[in-house]
Amino acid sequence: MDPNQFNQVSPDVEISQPPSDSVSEVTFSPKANFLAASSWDNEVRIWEIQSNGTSVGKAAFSHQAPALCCAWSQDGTKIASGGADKAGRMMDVSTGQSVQIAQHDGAIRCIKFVEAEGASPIVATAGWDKMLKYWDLRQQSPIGTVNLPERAYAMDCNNPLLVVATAERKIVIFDMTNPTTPFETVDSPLKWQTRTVSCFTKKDGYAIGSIEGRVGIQYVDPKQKEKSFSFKCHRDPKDLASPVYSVNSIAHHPGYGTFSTASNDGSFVFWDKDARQKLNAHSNVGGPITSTAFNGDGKLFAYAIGYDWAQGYKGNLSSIKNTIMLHAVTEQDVKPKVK
Amino acid sequence: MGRKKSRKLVLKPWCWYCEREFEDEKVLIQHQKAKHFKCHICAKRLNTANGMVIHVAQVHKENIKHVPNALPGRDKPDLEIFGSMGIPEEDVIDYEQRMSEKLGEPTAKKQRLQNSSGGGGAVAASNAVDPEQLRLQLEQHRLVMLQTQQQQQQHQHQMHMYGGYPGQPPLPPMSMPMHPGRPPTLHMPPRRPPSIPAMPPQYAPAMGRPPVPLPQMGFRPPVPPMMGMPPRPPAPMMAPPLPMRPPMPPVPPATQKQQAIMTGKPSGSSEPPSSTPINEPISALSAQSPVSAFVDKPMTKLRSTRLIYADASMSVEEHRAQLPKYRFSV
Repeated sequence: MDPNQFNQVSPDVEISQPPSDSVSEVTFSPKANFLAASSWDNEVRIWEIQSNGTSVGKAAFSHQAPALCCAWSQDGTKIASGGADKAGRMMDVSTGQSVQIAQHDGAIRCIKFVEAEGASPIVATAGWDKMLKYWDLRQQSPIGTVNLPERAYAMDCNNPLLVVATAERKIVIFDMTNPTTPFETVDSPLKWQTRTVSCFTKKDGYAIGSIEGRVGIQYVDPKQKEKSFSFKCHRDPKDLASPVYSVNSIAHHPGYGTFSTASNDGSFVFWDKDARQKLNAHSNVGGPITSTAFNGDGKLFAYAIGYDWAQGYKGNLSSIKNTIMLHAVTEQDVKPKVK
Repeated sequence: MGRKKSRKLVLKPWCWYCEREFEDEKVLIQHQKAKHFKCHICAKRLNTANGMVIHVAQVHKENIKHVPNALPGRDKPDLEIFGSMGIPEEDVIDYEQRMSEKLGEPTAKKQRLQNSSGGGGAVAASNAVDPEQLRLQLEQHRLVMLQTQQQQQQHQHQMHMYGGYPGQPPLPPMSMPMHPGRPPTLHMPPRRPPSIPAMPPQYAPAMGRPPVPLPQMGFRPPVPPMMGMPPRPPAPMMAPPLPMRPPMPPVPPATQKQQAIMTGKPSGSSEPPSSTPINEPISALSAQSPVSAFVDKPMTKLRSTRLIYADASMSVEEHRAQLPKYRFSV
C-alpha cells in the first residue's frame, strides 16, 4: 500500500462567525444540516450548513453563564442546552424563541433528548449537583429525578439506552423503559477520569474516553460483556516522554457504526471497533478538539477547536483559535475495511 | 604508523543519520535500529528507514516523512541504509574529508599512510580491513584488467574456466572469508565448476570490506549502478545483475562476519511480511483477555505517564467554571 495515500485530506472548511470562546459541545440536527454549538461565551449558536460547505448563522440564544451542552430533538425542530447557570433552555427553531425548561442545583453538564417511538419528547439533564432529571417540556418540575453517585461528566442516549458517566469513574446505565431506576452502575473500565461517552449505533453498548488517552468499548448485555475491551489512542508518536492527552470526544457514525475519537492533542481518528482497526487519522488541526459530531447522514463531521483548559492558564494561548471545522467524511474514514 | 595512532586514521563505522561514530558495525546497526528505524508507536525495530515508514503506514496508518533523531537534511526515509551500507557516496567522501581535517591529516597523506601501513593483523580486527582493502582493490583491478585482456584473446578458454562468467574476478568464494587478509592472485584460480553459475555477490564484501570506501577513485573500476550500495571493488563486468535487495526485509549483503555479529538473528526477521494484515496488532489481541487487552503492551513502561490533565477529582470544565470570568452568580 502506498504510504502516501494516507492523510490526503481536502482541507476542512471553517464555519462562518465562529464562537468567541471555546466550544463545549457541537451537535448536528438528525434531520437537516443544521449545526448547533454551545460555547463558554454563554451562547448557543445554530448554523445552516449548505451543500457547498459554506455555513450561515441562523440563530443564537444565551445562558447567563457558559453553555456546557446542547442537543437536537429527533425531528430537528428544537435545540436544548444546559449551562453553568444551572438552567436548561430550549429553542424552537421555527420560532427562534428560547425558554427555560430545566433547573438544577448545579451546572447542567449534559443534556439529551430521550424520544421513544410515538411518544412526546423528553429531555434528560445531568449536572454537577449529582442529579439526573427528566423534563417533559411542559411542566416546571421534572417528571423524574435520579440521584447519581457523582457529578455528571458525560451522557449519551440512543433510545432506549442512556449512559451517564460521572466523576470518580462511575458509569450509570439506564434503560429508558424504566428511566428512573439505574439498570446498572459500574466502574469505568478505564483507570482515569471519564471525559466522554457515546452509545453504539446498535444500542448494545457504549464507548467511553478518559483523560489518559484511552477508550473503553463496553457492551451492556451480560452475554456480550466479554467482548468489551479498551485501547490506547492519541499518544504522541514522536516522543515517549511527551504527556498523555485526553480523549475529549467520541462520535459514532450513523451509517457504519464506526466511531471517531478526538483529543486535546489536536487530532481526530476514526476507528472500527468490530474489526479493532484504526481506519484513518487526521492530526494537527491547530488546537485541542473539544467536541465532535457527525451529521444525520454521516457525510459531514464537525469538530470544535479551542482550548479545553487541560493545562490551566498557562495553556491558554492566543494562538489557539476558537472555531468549528467541517470535515467531509470519506469512505476511507468511516467505512469498515473488507478483510 | 609512526607518532600517530593508526587507530585514529582509520575511520570507524558511522551513522549517516546522526554522524555518530561506533566501534564496529554491530553497534552501529544496533544504534540505527534503536534510534532511527524504530517504530515510534509500537517500538518495533525495523531494519531500514523505509521499512519503518512502511510498517508505520500499514500497521498504524501514519505517514512518516522524516527519520527520527536524524540531522537536518539527513532524515530522508527513502534511502536504504543499513549500518554503513547504502550511504550516498558523496556523503562518504565529504565525511572522510571532514574527519581527516579534524584529525589534522590531509587526505592525501592519510591515504599514503594507509597504503604503507601494511600488515592488517596489527590493527584492530574491525579496522584492519582498510589497508587490506586497498591492496585487494588494487589486485582485483589488475586481475580484472588482465581478465579483460585474456577474454579478448582467448575468450573460449575463459568461458570454460570461469563457468561462463568471464567478468567475475577469480576469487574463490568459499575460501575468501576464511582468509580475509589474503589478496587473491592469479596463482589461485577459482576452480569453481560451472554448476554454481552465479555465486551471488555476497561474497564480495566478505573480504571485510570497510564500511567507508576509500577515496581511491582512480583505481576503482566503474561501480555498477545499484541502489546506492557502497562502491564494491570487484567485478565491474559481473554478468548477472546483482539481485535487487527487496525493500522488506532488506537483507543486507551480509558477510559471514556480519552474520555472526548480528547474534544469529536472521536479518529481516523483525520485519513484518508485507502481507501482514493491517489489523494484526488488534486482532492478535482479541484472542487474549478482552478488557484492556492491548493497552498494556511493552511500550507502557517506556512512556511517561504524565497526563496533560491529571486531576482525578475534578474535570477541566469544573475548574474552568470556577474562574471569575465564567463563574455564575445569581
